[in-house]
Amino acid sequence: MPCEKYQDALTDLAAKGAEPAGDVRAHLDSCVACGSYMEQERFLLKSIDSGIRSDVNAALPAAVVQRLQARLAQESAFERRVLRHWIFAGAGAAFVVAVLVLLIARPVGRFRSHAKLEPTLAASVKPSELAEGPSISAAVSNPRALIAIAKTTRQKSAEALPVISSSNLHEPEVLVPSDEREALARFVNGLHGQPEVAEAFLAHAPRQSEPSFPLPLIQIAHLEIPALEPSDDRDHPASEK
Amino acid sequence: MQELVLTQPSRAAETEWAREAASASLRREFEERLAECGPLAFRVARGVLRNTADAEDVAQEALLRAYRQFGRLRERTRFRAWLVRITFRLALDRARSAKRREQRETLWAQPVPRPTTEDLAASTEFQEHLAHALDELSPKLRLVLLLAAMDGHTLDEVSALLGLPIGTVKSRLFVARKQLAEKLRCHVKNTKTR
Repeated sequence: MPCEKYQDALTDLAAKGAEPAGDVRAHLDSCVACGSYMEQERFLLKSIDSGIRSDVNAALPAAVVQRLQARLAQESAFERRVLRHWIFAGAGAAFVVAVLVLLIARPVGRFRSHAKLEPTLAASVKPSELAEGPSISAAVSNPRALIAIAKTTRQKSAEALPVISSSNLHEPEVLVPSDEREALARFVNGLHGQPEVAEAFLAHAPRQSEPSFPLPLIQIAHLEIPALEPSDDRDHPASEK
Repeated sequence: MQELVLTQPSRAAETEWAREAASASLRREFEERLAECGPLAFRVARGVLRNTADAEDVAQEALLRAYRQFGRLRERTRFRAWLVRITFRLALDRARSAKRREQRETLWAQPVPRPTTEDLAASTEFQEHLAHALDELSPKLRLVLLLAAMDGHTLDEVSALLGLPIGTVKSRLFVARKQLAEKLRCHVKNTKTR
């Protein structure tokens, strides 16, 4: 059927909103059915456009604009509030961080000041090193052990850092009674690299006989106590009664 | 040695004032733009949702989002394009929501008087079929169709708004109209035979 051939073309023309031309125009002029089909397609598309336009071109209600402006005002106020909250939160966080830094830094500083007093003990005599040789408590009770410590520290002093480092802070502290601690540190420091001094210091001193000074015995003279003589009764006022 | 630097209160206040002034300026500029772009957002939303209440909500949401992004979208063409896209997307999301769909169908069940000269277009039945047919269109075709149907929008403007070549806009518009015509042809025949 020749009309079917033109119907697709007529639909396309109606969808484009174009006017038929050429042989399509000639067929439309001669064919009533295709003319009617074309009119139907145009009517359909006009209805579609009209239906879409009625939705799309609706006027914006004034209430929407007013509501929107109110929301914008709220939004601005909210932004300001959020900004203030952020400022306060930032200041608070900075304060907390500062306090934490101070709290963390304080014990470290104390340890450092302690380490300055006892640099050799803290830096060069590590618990792990002491574990290899004689212990501190053994050294305190046994002077020979102190000489061994001095020899050990002499060998390892080249490797040990003279200044206390952060890694040293993680080493457990050698537990020495506080009254012995300073003395031990100074003693070990003195022995550092000079074990012969320690040997000389700890060498048994020769026993010398102490000179005796004979003292004369204290002479106490014999005391004679004479017996009391009886006295006259008239001298006593109580006897008059 | 650690140092604690406290921000001067006066400087913070100055910063806040400057920020508030910038915010107020931004808001003024946006409100000026609102007169032009508010109806555009509403129409796009109305075209997708075919419901005034939903379209108002969507347009308001889209404009609020646009306000939040306004610092980056001050250029007029870019702002309009962004607004159209975000409104269209929000409207599609709203339309896809099952709950909203039920509400919309309830509303559409009520006869709504429409100020149109076309008898067929005024027909509620045809509008329902048209709505379903539009829902079945792909978003790309639908957006072009809606923008082209808006008063005062030429194809060149649609092309500029969407950042598409004019040939692509024409092609999409043609395909969209043809698809709608194929879906609605039987309904027109039924209506005409009554």
